[in-house]
Amino acid sequence: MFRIVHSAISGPLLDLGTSMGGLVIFEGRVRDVNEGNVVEALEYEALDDLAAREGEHILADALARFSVSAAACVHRVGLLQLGEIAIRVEVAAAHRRAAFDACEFIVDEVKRRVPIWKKEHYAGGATDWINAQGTRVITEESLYARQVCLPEVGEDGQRKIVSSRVLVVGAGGLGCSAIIYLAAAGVGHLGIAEGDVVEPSNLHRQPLYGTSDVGSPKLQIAAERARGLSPFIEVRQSGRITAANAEAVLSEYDIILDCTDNFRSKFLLNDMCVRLGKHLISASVDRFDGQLLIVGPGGPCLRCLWPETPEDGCAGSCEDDGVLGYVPGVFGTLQAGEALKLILGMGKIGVLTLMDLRELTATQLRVPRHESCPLCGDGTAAGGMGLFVSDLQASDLVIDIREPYETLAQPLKGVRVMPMSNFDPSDRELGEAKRVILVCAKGVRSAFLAQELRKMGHGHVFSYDGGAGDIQIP
Amino acid sequence: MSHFIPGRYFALRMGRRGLGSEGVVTAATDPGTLYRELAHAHGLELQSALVRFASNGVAGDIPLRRGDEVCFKPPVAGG
Repeated sequence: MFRIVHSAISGPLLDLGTSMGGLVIFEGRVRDVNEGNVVEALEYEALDDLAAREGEHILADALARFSVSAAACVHRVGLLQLGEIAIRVEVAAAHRRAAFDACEFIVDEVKRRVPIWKKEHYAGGATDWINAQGTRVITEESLYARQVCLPEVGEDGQRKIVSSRVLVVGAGGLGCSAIIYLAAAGVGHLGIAEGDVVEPSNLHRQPLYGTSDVGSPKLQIAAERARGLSPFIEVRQSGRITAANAEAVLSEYDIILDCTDNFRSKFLLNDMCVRLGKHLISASVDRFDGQLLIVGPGGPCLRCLWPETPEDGCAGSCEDDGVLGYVPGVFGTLQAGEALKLILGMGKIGVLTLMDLRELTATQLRVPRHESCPLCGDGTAAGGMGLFVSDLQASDLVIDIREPYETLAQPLKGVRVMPMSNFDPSDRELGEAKRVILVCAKGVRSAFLAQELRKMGHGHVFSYDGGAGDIQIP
Repeated sequence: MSHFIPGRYFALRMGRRGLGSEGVVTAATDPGTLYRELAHAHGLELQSALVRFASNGVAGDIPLRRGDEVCFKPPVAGG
């Protein structure tokens, strides 16, 4: 018989016959000191049904393991004063040894398995939740106490952090430290996008992973570690970000951290964020140097500096040139910090921060928005060959590059359909047309693809500004 | 006319010299020309079209004056 009771406990619990030679009784009482703290009262809370069920299992286990005839346990919940009984266990057996062993087993297992927590009321008014084994129960208040007391955060700021939506793209050298600090700060909706597995050569700069993780997908491990830092956050997992899925994935978040290691991904994220009006915190490292740029609505973007996506390999990479692990760690940490500052309304866009960690110097450059930026400028990039058009001519070849599930739901009349996932750059009609206009849902994928096609020599390819929703076919 | 220009190199391969910054005397009147001069002197391989400049804390290819602080910055992708 196991019971959770809300009033004072009294025995006996067992009705003893004449065949039992031994009865062991254990009573746990509220005492006045725990780990050096003066305790004035104890408050117990339990999930009553679950606790009663688990308690019955423990008694059944005890009867099966030890030569005892009967066992019973009662646990009290609610506010208890010093000296009052919290738990009473009775075990009856033919011989005393088995009765002592079973009684100890029951007390230990109740502490370990039954969902009961206690809150200690200390002298002076402080309280703390302790679980039955004596370890502390984690509350949201206790996790974030040291940042909530900052005037720049406060309870309002913490609420903003808890309701924020941040995506970390890339869980490598930059991403590992970014994920740690965002999760630990309590970012309520934390997304991680990553497609690689852990390699031994990653470990010196990617401390979310250990040697036993080599060969496993980074995404799962990183998400588990992030959840381990706070049970109060939601961690979502996405695979590698591509031109085809970027729009759908990025739309779910307010702030995107570019923790990638190649220009193609960096410029794809830049383009998507500008088009979707998201904040992008982009970082890159090179040996002992690193840079940080925050892109936001109304400010400059990466293409204000480099209109064309640079070729990968034109500058160094961690793989080719080597890097000390802490260098991306510093910049990933800065990215997390800048994300928190944006959430708290302290962020600044349009500043490029360059740091030389060998000399330990930092330089901040103001990046003006470039009027001829192919992405955020006025559409008149060098030579009048802006990437975007919003007026169509009858002679244009308009290609709808959306995927079949999108075109089925919202078909466009009078256009050629060639989904991006199956796009053929050597298509004859594409090569022969005077001007080719690509259309997608919002103009993000079409801008990306138009740039890629231009790099292949198709200078006559443009992206329709705004997407399929408001296109007028002449 | 020669100018004295303190130049700062960010993430540029300065070879064994390990230079982060230096002062230079130059006849160049714009950062692009200055970069090409220095790239030749230091054996930098990165083409000037990819390098971005900043003068006195503002990014852009702005005409140089005596004493300007110029920053050279290539695209960087490591992560």
